Amino acid sequence: MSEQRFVVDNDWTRNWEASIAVKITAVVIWALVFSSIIISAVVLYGTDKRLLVEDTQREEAASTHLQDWFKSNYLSKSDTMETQLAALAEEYGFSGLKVKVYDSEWRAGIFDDSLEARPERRIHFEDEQGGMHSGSLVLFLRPVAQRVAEKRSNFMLGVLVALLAFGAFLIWITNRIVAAPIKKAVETMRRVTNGDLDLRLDVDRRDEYGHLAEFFNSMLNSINDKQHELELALQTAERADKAKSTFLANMSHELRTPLTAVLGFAETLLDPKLSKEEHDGNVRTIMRTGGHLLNVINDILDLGKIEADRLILERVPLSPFQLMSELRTSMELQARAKNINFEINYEYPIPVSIITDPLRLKQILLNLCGNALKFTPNGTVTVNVRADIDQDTISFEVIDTGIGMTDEQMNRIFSDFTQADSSITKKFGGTGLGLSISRRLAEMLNGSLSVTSRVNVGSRFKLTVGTGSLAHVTLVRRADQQPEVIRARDPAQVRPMLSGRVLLAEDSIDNQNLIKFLLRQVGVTATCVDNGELAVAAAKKEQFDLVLMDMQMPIMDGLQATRILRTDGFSAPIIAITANAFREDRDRCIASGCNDVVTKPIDVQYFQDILSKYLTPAPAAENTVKTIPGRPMKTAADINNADPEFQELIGIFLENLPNRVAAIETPLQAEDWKAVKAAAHTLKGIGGSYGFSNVTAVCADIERAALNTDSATCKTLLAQLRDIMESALSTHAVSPNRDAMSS
Amino acid sequence: MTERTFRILLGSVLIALLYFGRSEWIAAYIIVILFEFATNWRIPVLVSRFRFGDEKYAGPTFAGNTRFNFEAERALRFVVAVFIGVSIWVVGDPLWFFPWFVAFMLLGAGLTNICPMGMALRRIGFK
Repeated sequence: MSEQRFVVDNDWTRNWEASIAVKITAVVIWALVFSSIIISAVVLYGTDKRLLVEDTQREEAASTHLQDWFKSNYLSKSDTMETQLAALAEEYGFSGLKVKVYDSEWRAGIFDDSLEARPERRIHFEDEQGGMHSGSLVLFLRPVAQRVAEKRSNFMLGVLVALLAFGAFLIWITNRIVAAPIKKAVETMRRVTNGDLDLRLDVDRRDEYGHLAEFFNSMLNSINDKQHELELALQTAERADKAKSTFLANMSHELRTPLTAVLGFAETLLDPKLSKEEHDGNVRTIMRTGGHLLNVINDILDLGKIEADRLILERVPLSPFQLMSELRTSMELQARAKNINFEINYEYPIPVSIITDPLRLKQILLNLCGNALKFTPNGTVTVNVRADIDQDTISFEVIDTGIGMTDEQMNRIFSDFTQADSSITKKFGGTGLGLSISRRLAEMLNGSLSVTSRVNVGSRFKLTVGTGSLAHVTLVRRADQQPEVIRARDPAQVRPMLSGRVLLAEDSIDNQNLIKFLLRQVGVTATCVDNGELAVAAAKKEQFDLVLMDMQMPIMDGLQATRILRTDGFSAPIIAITANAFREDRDRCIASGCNDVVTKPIDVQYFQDILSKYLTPAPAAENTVKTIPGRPMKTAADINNADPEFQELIGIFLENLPNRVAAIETPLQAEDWKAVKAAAHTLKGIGGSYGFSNVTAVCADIERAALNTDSATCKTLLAQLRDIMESALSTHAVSPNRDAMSS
Repeated sequence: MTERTFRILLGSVLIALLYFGRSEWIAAYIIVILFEFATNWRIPVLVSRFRFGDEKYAGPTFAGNTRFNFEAERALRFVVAVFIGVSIWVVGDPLWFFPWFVAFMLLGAGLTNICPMGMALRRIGFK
C-alpha cells in the first residue's frame, strides 16, 4: 500500500506562507480592490463637467444675492462692500470675487495666478432711492482639473481606509471562525502525538470543523481501544513469557530428575555384584523413568505441532465402547495401585460408532483420567459417557473425589505451562501442558473441554467432541446391547507366532542383529542385506512376504529402493525403519511406497503389532511366545536380561565396539569431521538399543563436538568412551556361541 | 528589510504621492524603481547586505523550475514602473485610477505577503 503524504512545495507561489485568515482576506481584498477601483472610476467619471455646471449655478446664485444686497444697501453701506463680498465668496465657495460699478471696484478673497477667473458677468440693480445701476461681477475659482484631482484623491483615500478597515475586520473574523479552531485542533493533535491520548476536541459546531473534530475524536477512541488491546496483549505475552520461564525451570527439573535416575541406575547395571532381583528392579526403574521422559517430550512435541498448525487429525470410525474398554485397561492398574474405584457409566443411547480421531480422543481421556487418579487420594473416579444424538456430539465426564480446585486455579489450568498451583508441580510433577493440549485437541475435534470443581470435594471435567452425523448410526439403548469389544492387550498377554519370509535391508550389523532377534521372538527369520541396491536385487530374485527397509543406507537409500521396487510392480508390504520421527518423514516414506513406518528406537510392542498386521499367524496355534509379564515391552533391553540370545547379541555388540570406537578415532586424527560425526551418530543409536546409555550419551557429545570441529573436546570424550568400552568389555562375558548369532 | 516590507513601503509612498498629486516625486519614485530593475541593486537586498551581510534576509528565493535567468522581484519593478508611468504620462486622465490600483496592490501584497503579480511572474518562469 502506498503511503499517503502531504508534500510541501518550496514554490511559495503555490505554497502560501501566510495564515489561512490572511489568505482568505487577501483573496477578498483583491476582489474588493478591483471592484472599488472600477466603481471609483465610474463614480468619478464626468466630475469636471459636473463641477462646471455647479460653478455656473453658484455664480448665478451669487449674482442674484449681490443684486438683492445692492437694492437695500448700495447707497447707505457702500463702505462695507468688501466685507459683504468676502462673506458672499465664502458662502458660495469662491476663492475670490471682484465687482465693478461705474468707476468703483470692490474686491474680496484671493487673487493669484493659480486661480481661474470665471467669465465677467453683468449685473443690474436698483438702489434704495429707485435709481437704476449697472456693473460687472468676476468670480475666481481654483482650476477644475485641480479640484477633480482633489476629489479623486479624497475618494481613493476613503476607499483605502475602508478597505484597510474591512480587511482588518475580515482577518479578525476569519481568524476567529476558521483559523483559531484549526490552531486549537493542531495543538491538540500535537499533544496527542506526544502521548496525551485522553484529549478530545470540542464538537460544538455543525460545520466542516465539527465533522473534523468528530472524526478526530472517533479516531482517538479507536486508537485508545487499540492501545488498550495492545496493552492487554503485551500483558498476556509477558504472562506467557513468565509462564514459559517457569515452565523451563520446571522442565529442567522434570527432565533432569528422571535422567539422573536413568543414568544412575544404568551405571549400577555395570556392577557385577548386582543380584538378579536388583538388576531387574533397576532396569524397571530405568524403563519407568524413561517412559516419564517420553511423556514429557511427547507433550512438548504435541504442543509444538498444535501451535504450528501441523497437527493433522484423522476422521475414522471408532466404537465408544472399544475406547472405554481400552481406557479402563490403561487406568485400572493405576487405580488399583492407589485403591481407588474406577467406574465407567453409560447414559444410553450410545452410538455403536462415531467418526473422530481415536488416538487424540484417547489421549485426552487418558490425560483427564490420569489427572483424576493422580489428584484423588481415595474414593472414586467415574467416567460418564453420554451422546447427544441431535447435536451429533458425545460427551465424557470425568468425575473424581480428589483435592479439587479453587475458581482461580480453574481459570489457570488450561493455560500453557501452568498448573493449578506451583506446589502441584513439586508434589505431583507434570509439565502443565496436558490440559492445555487436551482443550486444544477437544476444540480441534469440534468440541470443548470444561471443568467445575470444589476444593476438597472433587473435580468434574466435561469433554465433548463431535461425532460426525449420527443419523444412520445404530444406537445402543441398553447395557445388554453393547457390542463385543476387543480387550486391550495386557502386557502379560501371549502373542501368536507368525510365519512368512522377511527381507531386512539394514546397513548396521548391530541393528540387523536386534531386528533379527525381534523377528525370531515371533518365529520369523529374515534375509539380510546392507544397502538398497541389494534389497532391490533380492526382492526381484526371491519371493518375500514383507520387506523391512532402513531409510538411510549407503549406495542406495531406502526411499529410492522402495520407489524402484514399487515402479517395478513389487506388491508385498514394505515397512520403513527410520530414526526420523517427524510427520513429514513419515509422509515421505508413505509417498515412496511404504505401507507403514517403524521409528527407532524400536517400540517392540508396536513392531510386533506391525508384524502381526502384515504376516500370517503360524499354523501351530499352540506355538506362542509370551512376553515378560508385569511390564510393557518397549525396547529390546526390556526383554534382554533373562534371554541368553540377547546376551549373545550384546556380546557381538561389545566385540564390534572397539572397531566402532576406532571408526571415530581414525578420522578424528585426520580431522575428517564428517566421518567422525557419522561414526559417532551410528554408535549413539546402537549403544542405547543394547542398554549402554552412557555410550549413547558420550557419542552424542562427540557428534556435537564434531559438528563444532572441536578437536580437544572430541579427544576428551573419546577417552571417556574408551573407558566405558573397557569397563563394558571387562564386565560382560562374550557368549561362546556368538558366531551362530551373527550369521 | 524584506521584499514584503519594501512592498508596504512602495505602496504607502505611492499612495501618499498620488494623494498629494506630486508628479515630480512620482517621477523620482519611478526612476528609483527602474534603477532597481536595471541594476538589480534592489533596496531590500542592499539593506540586508548592509545590516546582515547576507542578502537572504531580503526574502525567500524561488528554487523551482525557472525559464528565465531573471529575478521575479526585478521584473516586478519594471512592471510597476511601466504601469504607473504609462497611466500617468502616456494615457493620462482616462487611466487616472490605475496608479491607485498599483499602489493598493503593492500595499496589500506587503501586508498579506501574497503578491499576485510576483506569483504570476514566477509562474511565467522568472526565478
